[in-house]
Amino acid sequence: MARKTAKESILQEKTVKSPKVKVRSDKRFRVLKNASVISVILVVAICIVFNLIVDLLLDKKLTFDTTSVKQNSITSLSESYLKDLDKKVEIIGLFDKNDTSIEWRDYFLPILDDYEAKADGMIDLRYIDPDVDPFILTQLDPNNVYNLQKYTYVVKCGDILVPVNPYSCFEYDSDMLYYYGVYKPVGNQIENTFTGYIRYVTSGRPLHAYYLGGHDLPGHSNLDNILLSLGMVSSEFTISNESAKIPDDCELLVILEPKSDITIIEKEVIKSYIDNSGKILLVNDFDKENTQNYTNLNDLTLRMGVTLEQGIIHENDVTRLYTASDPYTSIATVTDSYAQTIGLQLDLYNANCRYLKIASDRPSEVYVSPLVVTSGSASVDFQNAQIDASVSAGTYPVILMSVDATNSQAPSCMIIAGTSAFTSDSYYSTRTLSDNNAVFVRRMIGDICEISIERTIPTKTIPSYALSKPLSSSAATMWSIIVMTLIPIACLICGIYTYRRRRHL
Amino acid sequence: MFAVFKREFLSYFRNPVGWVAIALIGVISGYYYTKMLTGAVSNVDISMEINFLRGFFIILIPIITMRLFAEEKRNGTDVLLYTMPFSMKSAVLGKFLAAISLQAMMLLCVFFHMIITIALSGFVSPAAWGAIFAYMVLAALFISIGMLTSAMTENQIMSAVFCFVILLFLNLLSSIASSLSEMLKSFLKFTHLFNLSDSAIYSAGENVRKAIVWFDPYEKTNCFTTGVFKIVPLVFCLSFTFVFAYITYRVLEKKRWSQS
Repeated sequence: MARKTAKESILQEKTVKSPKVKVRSDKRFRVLKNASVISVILVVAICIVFNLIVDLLLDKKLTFDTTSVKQNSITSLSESYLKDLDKKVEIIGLFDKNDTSIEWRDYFLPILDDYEAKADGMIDLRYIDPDVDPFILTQLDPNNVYNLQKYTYVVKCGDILVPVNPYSCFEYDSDMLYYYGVYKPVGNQIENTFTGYIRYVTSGRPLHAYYLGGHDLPGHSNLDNILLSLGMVSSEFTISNESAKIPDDCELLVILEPKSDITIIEKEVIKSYIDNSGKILLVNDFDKENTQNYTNLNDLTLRMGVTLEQGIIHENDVTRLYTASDPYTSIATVTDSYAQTIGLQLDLYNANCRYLKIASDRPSEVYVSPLVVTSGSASVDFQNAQIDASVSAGTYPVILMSVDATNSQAPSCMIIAGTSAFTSDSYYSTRTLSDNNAVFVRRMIGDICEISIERTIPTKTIPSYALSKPLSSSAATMWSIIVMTLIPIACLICGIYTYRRRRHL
Repeated sequence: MFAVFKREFLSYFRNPVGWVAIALIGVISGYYYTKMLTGAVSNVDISMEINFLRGFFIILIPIITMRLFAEEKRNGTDVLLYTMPFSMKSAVLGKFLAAISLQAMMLLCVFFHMIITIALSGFVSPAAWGAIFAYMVLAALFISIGMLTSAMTENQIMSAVFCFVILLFLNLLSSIASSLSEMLKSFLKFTHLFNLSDSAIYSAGENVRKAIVWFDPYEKTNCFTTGVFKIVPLVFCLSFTFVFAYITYRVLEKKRWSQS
C-alpha cells in the first residue's frame, strides 16, 4: 500500500513541478511588460527628438504663405535689405505674444517671424510684456524720451530706437469709419514700416522729417509711410518762442494744410531754417470755408518767390475732369522737364487746388519751376468773385518747386503744393499708397532730399470678408434659422428616431 | 481593419451619440456663423469659425472617444477583439479612423456654411482651408488621446473625464507655462539662488515657458487661421497621434496577455 504506482509518482512529480511552471510564466509576463514599457518610452523619446530636430532645422523652410498678397511674408526688396545688414537689429514687441485679444496680433506675428527667419541671425525678435517685466521700458528708454507704451513694437539698433504704433501700419476704409465708426483696415503697410525702420536705425545717416505742429495739423499716417519708405522717420514739433530752433537733424520740414496762419515767431524761425539750406514741403489747398489770408505764410513763400492766392483752379477741359459736374477735381500732369528729371510721366489726381502765383519780384538767385500743372485751358475762380486782370485761361501750377541758389553748395528748397491730394489720409484711404500721387510724391521728396529711390514695397491689400451684396434683414434671419435651428434639429430627430427603433436591440 | 472601422463608424449612427454630436457642432458653428452674418458689416470669415470650433474639442472628443474601448469592456465584447483573427493594430486603427470620420462628418456643417457664403457673394480664403486641415490634424491628436483613456479605463464616464482633464490641461498649457515661468522668476529673485542677474532670471523664466509651450498643439496650429501653412506643426500632431495610438495598442496587448 505504501508503495506508489508509477502513475501516482508522475502525478506527485507534476504537482511538485507546477510552481516552477508558474514562475516561468510570471517571468515571461514581466519580460513582456518591461519590453512594452521600454518600447513606449523609446517611441515617445524618438518622437520628441524627431520633432525637436524637425522644428529646429525645417520649421522656417517648411512654412508657406497661402494668402494671395503674401501678407505673411516679406518681399524680395526687404530680403535684399536684410541680406546687406551689417548691424544687429532688435525688434521687440511690448505685449504678450499669446494674448489673442489683440486684434492686430495675427497680422504682425507671421511676417515678423519671416523677417527673423530671413535675416541670417541679424534680427532678434522678442516679445516682452511690460506688465510681466516692467524693467523693459526703462531698459529700452532710460530717459523716457519716446514714452514707450504697452501694445507697441520697438525697432532698435545700438542706441538708435524707434517706437512703432501697430495701428499706424494700416490703411483704413474711410467710408466705414464715417458711416459705422469702425476702423476697417483695407491695406497693410507692416512690411513697408518695418523695413523702413530697419533701414533708418541701421543707416549711418538717420533721416528725420518734422511736421510743424499746431494750426490743426491733420492726420498724416500715409505721408509718414511714404517718408518711411524713403528711410525717413517723422515727428511733430512746435515753435513756441524766438529761441526755438528747427532740429539739426531735420532733413525736411513739412507744413501740412495749416488751418490758421503761422505766427511771426514761426515765420522767423522757418526763414532762418531756409537761409541755412533747409528743405520745406508746404501743402496749402484752397478751402472755401476758410477765408484766412495767411499773411505770415505768404511772407515766407514770397521769400522763395511764390505767393498763395485766394483763388481756386477751375479746369475747363472736360476731358481732364474726374466728374463732369465738378470743375475743381481734375487730372493734372507732371511737366515734361520734371518728368525727365524723375523718370516718370504720370496722370495725377488734383482737387481744390489753390492758385499759386510765381512772384515777379523774386530774388535773382531764386528759381521757381512748376512740377505739376493743369491743362492749358484752366482758369482761376477767385474768392468773393474778385477779378484779377492778369489771370486768363491757361496752364496753372499745382505744385511748384522753388530753389534758392545763394549757397550754391547747399541750396535751400521749398516745394509748394496747392492741393492736399498728394498728402491727405482721406485721399489715400480709398486709393492706397500704390496710387500715382503717392508714387510721385515719394519721387519728389527723394529728389529734393537726395535719397536714392528704390522700388517701393507695395501696400498689401487686406482681403475683405464682407459680403459684396449686402444681406437684407429678412434674408439674414432666414439663413440664421436654417443654419442654427433646422440642421441641428434634423440631426436630433434622426438621433431620436434611431434610438426609438433600436432601444430594445 | 475595415470590418472594425465599418462596425465602429456605423455604431455612431445606430445610437444617438453620433447624431447628438453632429447636432451639437451644428448649433455651435451655426451660432458663430449667424453672428458673423448678421453683424453690422456681414464679415464672414470661415477660418475664424473653425478657430472658434477648436475650443469645443474638450467637450466633443470625450463624447466621441469614451465608448471606443470602454464600451467593449462593459458589454463583454472586448474578448472578441482579443481573439479575432486580426492584430490589435488593426483594431486600434479601425476605431481611430471611425472616430476621425465622425469628426469629418461634423465639419459638413462648416462646408455648408462655406457654400452659403459663396452663394451670398462672400469670400472663402485659402486660410479657411488651412484652418480646416489644421482642425482635422488636431482632432486626430485628441482622438488618439481619447482612445488611450478609453483603453485604459473600464468605465465610459471615467474615460470621458480623464480625456476631458487631459484636453483641458492642453488647452491651458500656455497659461500654465506663463504661470510657471513667473513662479520660477519670482523664486529666483526672492531666493537669490545662483546670484543671477535680472536679465538672466528673465531668460530662465522665458526658456521654461518656451519649453512647456513647445508641447502646446493649440499654439502650434494657431498660424493656420492667418493663412500661414506650416508643415512642422502637422508633423508634430501626427507624430504624437502615432505615439498615443501606439500606447493604446500596447495597453490592449497587455490586456490580451492578461486575458490569456
